[in-house]
Amino acid sequence: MTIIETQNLEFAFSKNDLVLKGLNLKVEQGSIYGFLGPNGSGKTTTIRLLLGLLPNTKNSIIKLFGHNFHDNRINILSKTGSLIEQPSLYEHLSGFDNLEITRMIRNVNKNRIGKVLEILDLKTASAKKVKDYSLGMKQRLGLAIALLSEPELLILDEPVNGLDPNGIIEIRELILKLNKENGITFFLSSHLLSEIEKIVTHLGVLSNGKLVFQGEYSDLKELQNKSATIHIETSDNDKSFHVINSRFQSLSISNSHLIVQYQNKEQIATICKMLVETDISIYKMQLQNNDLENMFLEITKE
Amino acid sequence: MPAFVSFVFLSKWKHLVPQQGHNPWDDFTEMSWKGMGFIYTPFFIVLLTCLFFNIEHKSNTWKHIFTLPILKSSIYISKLLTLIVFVVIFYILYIPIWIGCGFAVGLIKPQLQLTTHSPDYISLFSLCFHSFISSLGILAIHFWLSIRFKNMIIPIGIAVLGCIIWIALYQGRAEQITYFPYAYNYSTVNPPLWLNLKKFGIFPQHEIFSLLYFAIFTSLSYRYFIKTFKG
Repeated sequence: MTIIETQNLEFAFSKNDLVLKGLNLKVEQGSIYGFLGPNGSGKTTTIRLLLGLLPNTKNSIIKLFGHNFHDNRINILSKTGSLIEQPSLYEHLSGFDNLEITRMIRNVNKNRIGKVLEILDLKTASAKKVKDYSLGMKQRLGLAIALLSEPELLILDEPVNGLDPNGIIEIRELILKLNKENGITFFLSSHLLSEIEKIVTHLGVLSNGKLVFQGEYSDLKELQNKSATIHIETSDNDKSFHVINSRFQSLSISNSHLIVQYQNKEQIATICKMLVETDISIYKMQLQNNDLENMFLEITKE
Repeated sequence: MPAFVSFVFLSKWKHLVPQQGHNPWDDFTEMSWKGMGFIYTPFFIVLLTCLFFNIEHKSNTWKHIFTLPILKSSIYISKLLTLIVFVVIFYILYIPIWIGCGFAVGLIKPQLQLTTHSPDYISLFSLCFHSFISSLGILAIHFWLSIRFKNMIIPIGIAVLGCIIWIALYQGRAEQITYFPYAYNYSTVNPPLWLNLKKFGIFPQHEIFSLLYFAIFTSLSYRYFIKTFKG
């Protein structure tokens, strides 16, 4: 089942300033969808549109849980938890009171407060006023509020922003646990691939308001492999070019070496065999792997 | 205000000893309510409304509220009703404190005869009711302004300007004061004798205008809250 679906999602703050340019998001049930993009690419705008915090002025199709958001707002929001940018907290109240406000509005059983406080490791700090909380504690309390109603979908905007490495690991583990044990679908936005690549199952990469990649994380890995090249230096580069070119098409030649598009491990063995059989000495054969971070930067630069 | 009036009564008590047959509570009522009318509208109502909304603006909690499964109209109505309840609570607290202060002054200075007389409770409750009605216009205006502007200095600035204009109109005995909502509460507790206020049933003209302001600005703020306001 598709939990989030948008068709040709567009949004503009002013007439000539199109922030989102036809986004077709598809988030499957049970997935952890990483929504990546540099700062200012339109991630928060997309999330705000998904939650009805911005008007859908272009009348794009926004469906959550298979229903049009506009017509089923209450039903959709009752199954959705969210944390947008900094958590929305009443700093003059205690952590418990902040949870109690949402609990009363959402009409949730009172024992859920104890449960979420335990999950987020905030039990001992629940009586403390939020103004005395650290940034990490505030972030965890924001998550506790989002989790209070046992949502089926959690939309988190930059959930690890500003957290120290320990805090980032804790949130990551929590997301994985909730996804695995409770089957919660996550839609996480981030501007850093390294922050979420360890937990996501699916990725959407946003650049200048356009979705430049969407698919399973393994698809991105495959794309990464496709962008890898083999750099070969031999005793006769011209002859090697012709030999390899008879079998592998994507080949270029520079002054000192040949470049072949990497396909798989067997391809390397085949090239070696072909060159040895034609009496060409191989001086160097190097796989140039494009790491995901560089790839993400390249994709979003386009 | 009751404490301040009590202080005045205690320090000037020799001038305030009632003559035979005169109820000392009438003077105590007049002084207290005039002072309250002067401070209540510009300071209490405006500050209450501004601070009430500032909690959400400051905590950045609108985005959380709007992602909860409740209708925006319900949020609006609950905010408006809470504010009205706050104002009613003000009267509920003001009256016993005021009466308590009066009796305390009477105990300290028996010559003032405040303990041997009692206030006119019917007039008191009538005054509360009319004071509340005359405050509704300003409440709705500042309710709208507080939704419209995140910076609470703007509504407070408008209120200060409104009060300056009201005092100028009052001092200049301008009849236009009838149309000026910042003057309504004071006009209720201390009706200007130079102004011929028409009455419509139990309501003087300015209270009818207060209700009209309430209706107009509540409609405006409701429309803005539902259609445009995103927190």
